[in-house]
Amino acid sequence: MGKIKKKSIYSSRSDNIFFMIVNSILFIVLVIVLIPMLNIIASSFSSGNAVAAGRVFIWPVDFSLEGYKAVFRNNQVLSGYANTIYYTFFGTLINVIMTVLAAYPLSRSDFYGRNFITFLFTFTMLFSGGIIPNYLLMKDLGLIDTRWAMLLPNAITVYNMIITRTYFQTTIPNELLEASRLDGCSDIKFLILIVMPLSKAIIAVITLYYAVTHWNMFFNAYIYLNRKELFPLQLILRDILLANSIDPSMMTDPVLLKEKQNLTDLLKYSLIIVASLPVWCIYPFVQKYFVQGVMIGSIKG
Amino acid sequence: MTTKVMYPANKRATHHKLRKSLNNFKHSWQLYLIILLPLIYLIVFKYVPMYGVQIAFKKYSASHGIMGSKWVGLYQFNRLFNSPQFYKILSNTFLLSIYNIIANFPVPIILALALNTVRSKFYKKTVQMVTYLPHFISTVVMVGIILQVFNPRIGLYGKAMEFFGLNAVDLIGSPAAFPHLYVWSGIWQNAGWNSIIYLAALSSVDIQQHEAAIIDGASRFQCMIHIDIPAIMPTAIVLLIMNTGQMMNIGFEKVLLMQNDLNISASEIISTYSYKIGLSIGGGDFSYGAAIGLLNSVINFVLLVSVNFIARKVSETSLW
Amino acid sequence: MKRILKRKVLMVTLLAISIMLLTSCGTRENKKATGTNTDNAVDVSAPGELPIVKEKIELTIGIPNNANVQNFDTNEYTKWLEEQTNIDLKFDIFPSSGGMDKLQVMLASNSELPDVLIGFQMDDKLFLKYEDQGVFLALNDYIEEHGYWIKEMFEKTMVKDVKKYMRSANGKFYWMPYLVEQEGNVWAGKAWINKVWLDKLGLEVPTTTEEFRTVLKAFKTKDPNGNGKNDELGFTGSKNGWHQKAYDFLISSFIYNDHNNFYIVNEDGKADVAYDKDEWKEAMKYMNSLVQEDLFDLQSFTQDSSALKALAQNPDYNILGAFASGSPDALFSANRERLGEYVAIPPLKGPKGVAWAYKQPMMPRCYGVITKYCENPVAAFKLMDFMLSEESALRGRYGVPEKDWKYATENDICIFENIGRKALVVPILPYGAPQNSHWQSLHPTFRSAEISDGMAWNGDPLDGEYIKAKAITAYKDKAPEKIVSKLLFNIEESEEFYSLETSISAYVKEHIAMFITGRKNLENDWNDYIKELHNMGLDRYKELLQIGYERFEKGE
Repeated sequence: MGKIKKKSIYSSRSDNIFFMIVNSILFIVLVIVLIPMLNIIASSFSSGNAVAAGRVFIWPVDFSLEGYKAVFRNNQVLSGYANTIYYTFFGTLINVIMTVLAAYPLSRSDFYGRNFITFLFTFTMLFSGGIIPNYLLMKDLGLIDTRWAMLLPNAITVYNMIITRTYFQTTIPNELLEASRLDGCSDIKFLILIVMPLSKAIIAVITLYYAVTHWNMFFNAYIYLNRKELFPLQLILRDILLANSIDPSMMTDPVLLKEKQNLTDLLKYSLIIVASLPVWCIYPFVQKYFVQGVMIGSIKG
Repeated sequence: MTTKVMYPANKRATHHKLRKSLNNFKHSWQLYLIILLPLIYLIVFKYVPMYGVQIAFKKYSASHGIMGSKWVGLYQFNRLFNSPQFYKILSNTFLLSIYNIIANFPVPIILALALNTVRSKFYKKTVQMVTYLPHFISTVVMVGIILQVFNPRIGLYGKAMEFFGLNAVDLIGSPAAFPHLYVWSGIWQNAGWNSIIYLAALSSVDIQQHEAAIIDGASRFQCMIHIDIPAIMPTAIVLLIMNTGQMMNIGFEKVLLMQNDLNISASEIISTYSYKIGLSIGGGDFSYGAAIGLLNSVINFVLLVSVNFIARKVSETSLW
Repeated sequence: MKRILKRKVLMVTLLAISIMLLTSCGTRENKKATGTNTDNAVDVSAPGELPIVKEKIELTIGIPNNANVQNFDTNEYTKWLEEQTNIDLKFDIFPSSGGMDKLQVMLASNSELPDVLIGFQMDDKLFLKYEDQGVFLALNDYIEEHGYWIKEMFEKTMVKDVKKYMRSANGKFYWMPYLVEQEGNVWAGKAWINKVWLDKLGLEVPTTTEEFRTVLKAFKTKDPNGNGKNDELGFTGSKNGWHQKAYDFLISSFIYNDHNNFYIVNEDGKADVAYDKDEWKEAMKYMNSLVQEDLFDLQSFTQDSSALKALAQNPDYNILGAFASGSPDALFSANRERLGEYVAIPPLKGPKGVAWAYKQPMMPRCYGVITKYCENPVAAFKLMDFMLSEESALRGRYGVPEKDWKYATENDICIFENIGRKALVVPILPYGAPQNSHWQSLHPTFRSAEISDGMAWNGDPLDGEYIKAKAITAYKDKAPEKIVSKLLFNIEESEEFYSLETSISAYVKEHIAMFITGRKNLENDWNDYIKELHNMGLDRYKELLQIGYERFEKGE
């Protein structure tokens, strides 16, 4: 955004006050969010004892990698990562293609039946058949215990489709369409050659949304998948957390019980980091697509 | 392209409309092709299983299957309606949901506008990156943080009150405080993430509009009001409509974890109550679960249609 | 150049799609033909004889995942079972959290199930629900004709009515038991008090509710932690720890408290509830009076176990005087010396002389069932019967002999010596860390008291298990003779009963908090409370409760 040159002649006092207010608000927001997040990160690198005693604030106390060791000690974690990366990559690919294919026609006001079809989509956002019919469907399609079970059922999230449609409606001007028509451009060509390049911002957003959904998904996995080799990361992490929760009614060995007790609290923190770090890293790459000025020159040129 | 046929004036109007629709239909064939695959998906994965909704009106038994199970009408629904605490539970659910939607609406927008205005790219990027982080915290940890921070003895809240010499009221055990704790912690967690879509919308605002306005003497604040806000209004309205349609799906796990014996009069909502019933019966009562789900869906549907209708009258944007 | 870029994107997308298609397809090989047809079942050995089958067969076991079991297929316990029985074991892994939900979905959609389901704690209602489809096989005949180790268990066990627990409302046995005789967990309603503070103030461990009040007051006012501030807490606990609710402990000084839904057996021998009785009202009054003097910590209603732990480990000065907990060692893990400051408070005598200890009766739990999809049900039964043998108990819990554990010698002292147990096993492999020697004990098993309470003491007086063991004597055998331990219902009764229970229970628990905190007044509001309970259906609830209790006690 900061492309506005410093027009010292034009920036008035009210502008300066305005910027000051905005910057302060953002600063407060930054602090409110940053402190607890630092606490989580710091806790994950602290010793179990320190976490249990509540001694960690925003910096690790008794630095230790216990929390992470407990996670990676499990040999299923790496396969979980691999599976999740697979599902996220291909799943998001399917998602984005299908979403755009649905959103573009619905954004065109001259699309016959547009309102009806939009309603068809929105209806499914509210009403669903329930677990049993869905399970039966997957069974009949032969998709139980296959990778497709993780990729197909949620191919389109209506929510994301609607925001994509709205974006197309507000940012692709009709003049562009008419101009292209004059050049003899078909709808399909228009979509691929003109609309897509101009919609980098929204595609970046839905890619991010879908990727994160896939990354965090475990419900489909635990209902539809039977083989451990296919389990995604979230499912395995949940299993780890559960396995390390103490059930005090099960008598355990004296020596280990004490270590395990601290581990449960500590694990919750290190699990968040393990599960979220890759996603945190994606965002900066996505963010560069929210660049202003994408539309410049497309009409005037 | 269309040849004009001469008709008497009054017929011309309707005929023109019909012709236009037919024209649209003819010319839309490519668009139909484009949307074909998504439609197939929709029908197969979403509409085909919908026949299962009827188990909400039946006593589902696996041996009879969905079609063969006994029809019981509103029996499953009455199990909820007749429960002694029904009105309390219903009002808790509505209160929490409505509060959640209204409070959650402006914050991401304000955040996005603020970020958009900031001059330093570095500052903008930093704040953006930090604010979306909490979205990934799992519900269990989130509630753990809430309980930790608001502990009147050892939490940040308790220590702060001590510092100011005030008495730290136990907020976690207070039914009055429950909705606030629930909603604002949710805003803390998700505002940054929710502002992403608005930032994307703002990024499509033509920068030349800004420059033109400034040359005309507008202050940065006025730019924001007159250019930025109208640019994201369609998105905001559409999101508001859709969120209203999700209203009854209010987070079940988070409420369950935040409940305790002292605040239960405010924290028992339809989903947590139904969960407990289902659990006590040993799980697997899919008819009851379906009935609750259907009830939620119907309420969501009514709300969605109403808000959509209002939006259509008041603004140009609506879902359909 | 835009064209070329577009073409590249297209190629990459096509490539990606093809890779995806190739790797996604391919379901597992079809399972063998299903059905209740067991004509192809192979011959089995006589009861108690190994191996179970002469020609090798395969059994699939559905089991919830456990992140601590590295690999069920190559696990030592699996290998040992396979060698001994000559049965090849295949595993269908269910998610550890939500495994039961998934099973419900599979059952409801008539999906094929593994031959045997192990490690799922299934409820009676489930068996009754699927009785008409015969999904779960009744084991009565198998036990009669082929049972060996299970019959031994019936003889040896300390649980007098073990068969009663295993029978369903329709008289059938559907499952193979997990029975661990652990005295320590029976007497789980413990409370603790700081002995160091008592000594400092010249006080004895309280024996009555009034003495308790005096002691708490002394803690509050006389600054036993010596830091000049009156920061010591009243009697506290947490809302979700294991038997950590502060009010649970104190109620049993007035009327028996089952720490759950408050079932009692009244003087007429009928099943009843505790919360509409005058004794209950007295209990509430007592605790409310403690609250008024700030001797009962209200935070115990809202804080979770972690918060209590943080309090217990308060740096510099200990502020915890007395608290309720079934397992205190968990709270002091970072500060173990403090654990040594506490002793168990025996049940306090209320004004009427009532001093009950909470008892969780030892009982077998459902841990293994055979589904109708099994072609060799007798062999499957015999496999689980074998799991009930003593050798299986030792290997299943401790691992490979000599490598993961060894037999105790004369010199090893037993942790549970105070209740008369001798040391039997010295563990080597730590329990609760990822391993491949056993299945974390999540299968039918019978661990008699000698084995489960036979762990050697490592000599550490601050050892959590040792401390818990020492405390047992304070509570042992102080429960009423008759308590409600289990209920048996048919399907309609169970639906009605548990629906009522959900509402009533929530109402009662909310009012415990209200009466104790004083938000509701015991003089003015008690009668409305009772009236509302009746409006909610308390009478019908009690009727059903009696039906369920009777059916269980009759045992047929």
